[in-house]
This record gives sequence, structure tokens and C-alpha cells, in this order.
Amino acid sequence: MKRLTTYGLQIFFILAVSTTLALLFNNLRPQALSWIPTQEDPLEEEPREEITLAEAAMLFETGQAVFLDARDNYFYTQEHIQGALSLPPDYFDYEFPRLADQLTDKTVITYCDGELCSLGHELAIMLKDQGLPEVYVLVNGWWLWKNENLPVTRGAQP
Amino acid sequence: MKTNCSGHYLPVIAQGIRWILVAIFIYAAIPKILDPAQFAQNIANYALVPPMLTNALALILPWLELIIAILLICRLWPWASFFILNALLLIFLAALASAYFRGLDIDCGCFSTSSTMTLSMHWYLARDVFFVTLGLVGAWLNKYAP
Repeated sequence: MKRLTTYGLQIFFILAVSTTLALLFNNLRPQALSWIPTQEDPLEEEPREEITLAEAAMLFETGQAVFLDARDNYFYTQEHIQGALSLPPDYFDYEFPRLADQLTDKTVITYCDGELCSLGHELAIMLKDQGLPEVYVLVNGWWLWKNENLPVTRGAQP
Repeated sequence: MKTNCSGHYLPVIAQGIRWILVAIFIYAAIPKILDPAQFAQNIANYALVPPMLTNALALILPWLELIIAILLICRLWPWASFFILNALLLIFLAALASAYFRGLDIDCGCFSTSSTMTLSMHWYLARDVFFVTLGLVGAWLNKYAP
């Protein structure tokens, strides 16, 4: 019983030290992460302009929008929405200048795979920061698009 | 007291497993300590933890991993460290398995904070099962540690 109490105290102490270090280190950080998520978190900052599949498909049919694939390039090469360009947020700084000409003053629709995938939103925020006027996110876009058997193509970015 | 020769090897194996676990935990902790915001996003991707708690967990967990690694290096409080180590590994495995069975397309976020890794969930699951096995065997062998 005494041994169990000792182990319990040790575990409590380890947890307490970890929490203290986390507190101290986070406060030293230039951009400290708030302990309770607030509206100031980067992903919540900007209003999210989401678009439905029907609207996106209509813009696709009429050729009024450029689709941007936010998934990793590997998945893009496997298959992507017909005519979409690959622009994963992680490579934004590197890839965006190359694609900028094709995007200026166009309606842009970003997509990713999965309801919870945040890459589409991340990409949309980056595009808006670059001054693109109309950026929409098609949430769970890849899955929805495939599910409706809308046009797709394979292969790397031209 | 040991009558079979395998007794000689147990301390060596115990030591080896401990060092592997130390390496795993340090390797896992550092990127998360450096980028807690991304780790918080990774936790949120699992859709298991209330949103209120994701940031707090993202801040504390990596330090807990690091402290455990340091305690294992110093051979201080081995039972308490192994208890927390195995609790963490089992929670990670359970979270990953639950995401897998819910068909969630998530990046595991265990080692890297990049959300664009292309390795499959099967590999993550196999790896986590291996880690849990190491953790449990390590804890069991701890009594033989030199």
C-alpha cells in the first residue's frame, strides 16, 4: 500500500513538472499558444467561404473557376479534379509564384479529402492573403467529386 | 539464483529496450514542443478530445514525453515512468485505432507535425502496436535491469 502511494505521488509529480515546463516554455515563446482555444487562432481568424458541390460543379461546367488541389502532390498525381492545379499549403511559398498568373482575378475553389481535412481552408486563407478576390472551399471536395463521378484526370501537374 | 543462462541476457535486453524507448520518446517530443499549434491541429483531427482541451494537451503531452525519456535515461522512478509511458502508448494506439475504424483520413501526427505525410494508416497502426509491445516488455523486464 505504501509502495502504491509512493508510485502515485511520483506520477503526480511527473505530471506536475510537465505542466509547469509547458506553461513556462509556452510563455517564453514569441507567439504563445492560448491554453483555451479562442477566436484568435489562425484557422478561426478569417471567415470561411464554403461552397456546395452543386455550385462548384456548375462553376466547373461553365469553366468559371480554377480548382486548386490542397492535398499532397502524391495524391494529386494519383488522381485529381479535371483541370485542377496542385497547391499544397506546405509548398505555398514555393509553388504560388509559378501559378499566380493562372489565378489572378479568377474564382478559385480549393479542395481536400475528408470532412476534417483543414488543408482546403489553410490554402484559402493563404490565397486571400495574396489578394485573390474570390476564394471558396469545397469541404471534403475530393470525396464528394468522386462520389458523383464528376470528371477527374491522372498525372502530374503540367 | 538463475539456473538458466538466459538470465545473463535479460539485463542487456532490458537496457536495450529502455534506450529504444528513450529514443522514440525524444524523437516524438521535440517537433511537438517546437510547434504546439500544429500538434493541436493534429489532435483536433482525431475528433476525440473536446476542442477546449486540444491546446492544453498539445502543450503538456510533449513535455511529459520528454520528462519520461529523461527519467528513463537517469533510471529514476522506473515504475512510475513505465506506468505513464505505457498509459501514453496505449492511449495513442486507442486513438489511432478509433480513427481507423471511423474511417477518418488523418495524419497520425506522432512524430512529424506535417499534415501531408503519405504513409498509410496500416503502417501507423503496426508501428504503434510495436511501440506498445516494447513498452510493456520494457516495463516487465525492468526488474532485471542492471
